[in-house]
Amino acid sequence: MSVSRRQFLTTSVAALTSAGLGARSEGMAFISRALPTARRTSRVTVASCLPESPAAEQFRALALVAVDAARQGGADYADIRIGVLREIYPPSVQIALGYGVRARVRDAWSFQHGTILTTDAVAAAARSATLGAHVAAETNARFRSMVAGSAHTTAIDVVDSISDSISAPVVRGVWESPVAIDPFSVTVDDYQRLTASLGLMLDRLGFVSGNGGVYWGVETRVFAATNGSLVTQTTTRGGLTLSVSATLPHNMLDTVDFTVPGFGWTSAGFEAALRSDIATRMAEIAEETIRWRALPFRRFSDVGRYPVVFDGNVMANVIGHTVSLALDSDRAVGNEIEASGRSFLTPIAEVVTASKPAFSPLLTMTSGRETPSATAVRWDDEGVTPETFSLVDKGHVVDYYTTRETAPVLADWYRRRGTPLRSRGCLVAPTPGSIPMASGGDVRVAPGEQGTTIGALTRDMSHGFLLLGGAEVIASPGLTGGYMRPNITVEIQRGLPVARLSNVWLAFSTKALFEKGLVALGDGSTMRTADVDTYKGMPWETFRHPLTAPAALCKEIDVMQTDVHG
Amino acid sequence: MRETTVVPDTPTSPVLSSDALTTLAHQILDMTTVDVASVTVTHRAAGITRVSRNHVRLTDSGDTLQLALRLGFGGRGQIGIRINQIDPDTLHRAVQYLERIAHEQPGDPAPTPRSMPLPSPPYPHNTSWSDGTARALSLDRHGVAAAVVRPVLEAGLTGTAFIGVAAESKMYADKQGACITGQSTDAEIAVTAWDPDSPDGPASSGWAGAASRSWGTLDSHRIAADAVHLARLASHPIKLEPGRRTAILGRPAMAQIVRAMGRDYDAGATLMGFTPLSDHKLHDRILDTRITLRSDPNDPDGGYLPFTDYGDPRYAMTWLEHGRLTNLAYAPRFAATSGVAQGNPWPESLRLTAETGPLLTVDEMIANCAEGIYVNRVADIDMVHRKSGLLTGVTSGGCFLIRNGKIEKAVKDFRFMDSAYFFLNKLVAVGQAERTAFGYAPWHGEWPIAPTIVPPVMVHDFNFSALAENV
Repeated sequence: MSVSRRQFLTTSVAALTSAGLGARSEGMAFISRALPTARRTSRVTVASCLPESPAAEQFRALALVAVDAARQGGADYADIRIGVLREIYPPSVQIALGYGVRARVRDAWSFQHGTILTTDAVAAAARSATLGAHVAAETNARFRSMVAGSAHTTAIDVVDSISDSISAPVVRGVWESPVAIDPFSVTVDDYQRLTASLGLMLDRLGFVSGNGGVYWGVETRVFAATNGSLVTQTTTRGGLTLSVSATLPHNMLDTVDFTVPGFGWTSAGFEAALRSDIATRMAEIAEETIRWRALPFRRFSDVGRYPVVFDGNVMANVIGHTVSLALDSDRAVGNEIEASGRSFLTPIAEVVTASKPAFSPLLTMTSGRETPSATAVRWDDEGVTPETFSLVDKGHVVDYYTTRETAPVLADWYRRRGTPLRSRGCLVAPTPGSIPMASGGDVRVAPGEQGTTIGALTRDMSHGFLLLGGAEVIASPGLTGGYMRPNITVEIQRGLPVARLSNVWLAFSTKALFEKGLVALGDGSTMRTADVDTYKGMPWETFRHPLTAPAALCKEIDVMQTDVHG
Repeated sequence: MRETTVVPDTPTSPVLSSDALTTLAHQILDMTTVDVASVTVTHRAAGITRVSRNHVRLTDSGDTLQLALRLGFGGRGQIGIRINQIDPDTLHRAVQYLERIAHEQPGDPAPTPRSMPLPSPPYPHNTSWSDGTARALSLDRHGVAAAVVRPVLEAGLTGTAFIGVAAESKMYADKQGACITGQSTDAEIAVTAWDPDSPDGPASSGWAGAASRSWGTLDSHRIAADAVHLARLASHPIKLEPGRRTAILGRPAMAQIVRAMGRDYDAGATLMGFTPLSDHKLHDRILDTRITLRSDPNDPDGGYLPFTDYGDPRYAMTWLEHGRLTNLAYAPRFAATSGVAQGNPWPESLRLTAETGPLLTVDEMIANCAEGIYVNRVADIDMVHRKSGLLTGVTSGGCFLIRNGKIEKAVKDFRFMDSAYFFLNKLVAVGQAERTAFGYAPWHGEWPIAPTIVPPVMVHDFNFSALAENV
């Protein structure tokens, strides 16, 4: 039995009304009843049931053992990250303890990681890392002698120049991300009621279904280095992630789904769940989802070049997998050649001093790691205090995600600008046992003029497309271009949405798209945040950071079909 | 009475022994009286050396441990805890947490057929362990790094290399008496070399690699020599118009493509209409009749542990025989409800072979090609259209124009867009299947990637859709 669009709308809206998720906000009351304001105090907290974690003081003591062992082993520099991460995906939990010691001897690094938290084990790991660095440095010396006087000297010299890490001030201290309610101090009962109430609310939306994720992670991480640094940070990250899907019973494979903006992980505790607008925001997005789902759905076949509007989520994904990755200093200096790849924004010295902007003057990007961002820290993973800094200023590339190792390649540029040479605090180890590498923080693309809504961006479009709800982006190895597969593609004719399209994907050249192709940016109301997951290293590890961007109007994009094979 | 399947231990193991894991399993499961309880322990050790531009960039070694304990009361939802410490107090508290929480989960407290683990099945033998590889974890990998970089330097080239050795010990046990343990090892060497004077630099490189459960079978000198040979050929590439062309796909290219085919054999996804096999019935011809596709935990060129993290057995299966669909992978519980005698998870490890007709080497394929492209390796694999198996990726580590039976020129890398279900029906020639390395390949999961044993192939009308630098 098929269901008409009219039936679909009528039934779904009725379901919303009966669920009380409209203006009457009965759903909010429903949620409120389930939240900790009414919790039954007789129930035990999550923390009280779990295995106890070592105290920060124990981690500090072990960290000092490691740096002493590395120093005695002759490391030019060594550092350690050690700690515990407790995570709750109610009701399941995960507790991971671990450490990673990094040692440098001349131009060679060595890394050793483990999970056995004894003095002997940590000291042995530090000695092993140091020994590994000594052997690697000797190997490099042999390589150097083999290529002395040949063309290779140039390549090796580049490596040497960046291995002379800039010094960092000795840092000592303790920092905790601000939290009102420690998620592990919440009772098990409250988590059950939270997840049950989200589930019930989301189940009551008729043809519209919802997904709700609940997650918190609390990590205590100690960093110590042979330069005398010793810092302890406790970060709490997490929150609710909500999305809404609309489908029809006769075609379950055709689904429209949106994440609910304004939710997601932040640097906050359980208080992030105590929002009074959950039901209202769900209802708003449910209505939007139903509206887009109700458009006629057809297979795309009009291959060609078109103007395209990205919503903020799509723009965040495209920027995140192209321009932002190209600003990764590890890529730009060649540290990732055999792994995640290269960057088209090289050589760095030429890119930053170019008189012609690399991108449209509309494009301005910054990065920072301040609260309430989920990336917030007081010190990065080598003891540098991160700062909010400009990456792209009106189209000009002015900085990269740098670390103590890679910042020296910008020394001349900083000198010309009268800026002290320092790392921007972008070294990130996803876990204490991970090799730390450069990564973006909380990256933001500046919005356009006020009043530039998505409607305003599509208004003058005679025939084009609006991409909504995020996109999967496949970038080329040098990030010079790629493809994107949007979550939702809407055909626009004479400024109005006329259909949803299946089997669409788009090809782009990064420079062309963000240099001459970018026509306008949406205003602040169009800003959306996407988590950008990338892989780095060999073996690879996932690095994640949020990127917030406005909607964008771009011209001349190749729009193609996924199911036609050339 | 608990049944235990144990792989013989070795004195050189850098990971927890089967005995240690079995003792641990009994210790944990004896702590709880809950009927539905299972535990998986995975202990991994790895040693890595990365060479970047003729320079040892980094060495990395260490181990990780993870214990996943799942517990449930009757038909109530199961819950889990993951920890990485195995001292008695931590284990006791973890069990206590689960028991307390599991009681409060919604659902019927009485056991249901769905809530109970399936009976303990017979498991195939495990053959994926090598003492030599385990010993290599404590060897000086820098010696190997020097061995693979020296030929690159002597050839006047610049190079990168990856040398990785890994060992894993895994155990699954449950309250119903199942207890299976197994250990595996793996090793990989990959070298990329390029002419520093070539205007494209590392974008016109030669890549060579090998992977094996057994470290001793890896020939670092040959790998380096192959990378040098390809790098010399790859220098100063020309631009060539994209389009449909005859292609010779080397083993490293085929491995990346074939690895992406495993999920297509998942019965659930296929029956729901999601895979290239959805419109076919068993015994339909899917690919060229020369092609057979199998998985075997005891494959002599790269077996794998014969069980999953949830204790499900992995049996030897033939998915395609002479091009015809012979089996789909039914997850054990789905198999039980679908009347399928033997469940099996979808294959992560595959062997694609030609069992009829002559087997040609890549050189022989080139000699028999009037005009075409030889692709040594592809990278950045992504699924474009799952229903047709349409993949995209870029050529990487050697791409050459063939004319009149010879390599004429190196060409700039292409993006391709094609499906194995299309191009393996346009097969011209096929070679001997061997396991190959993947190099950087996060699109295929964690390193080390399950063995993929493939031949080089020559096919008509392969779709080179664009120049890689353009998209």
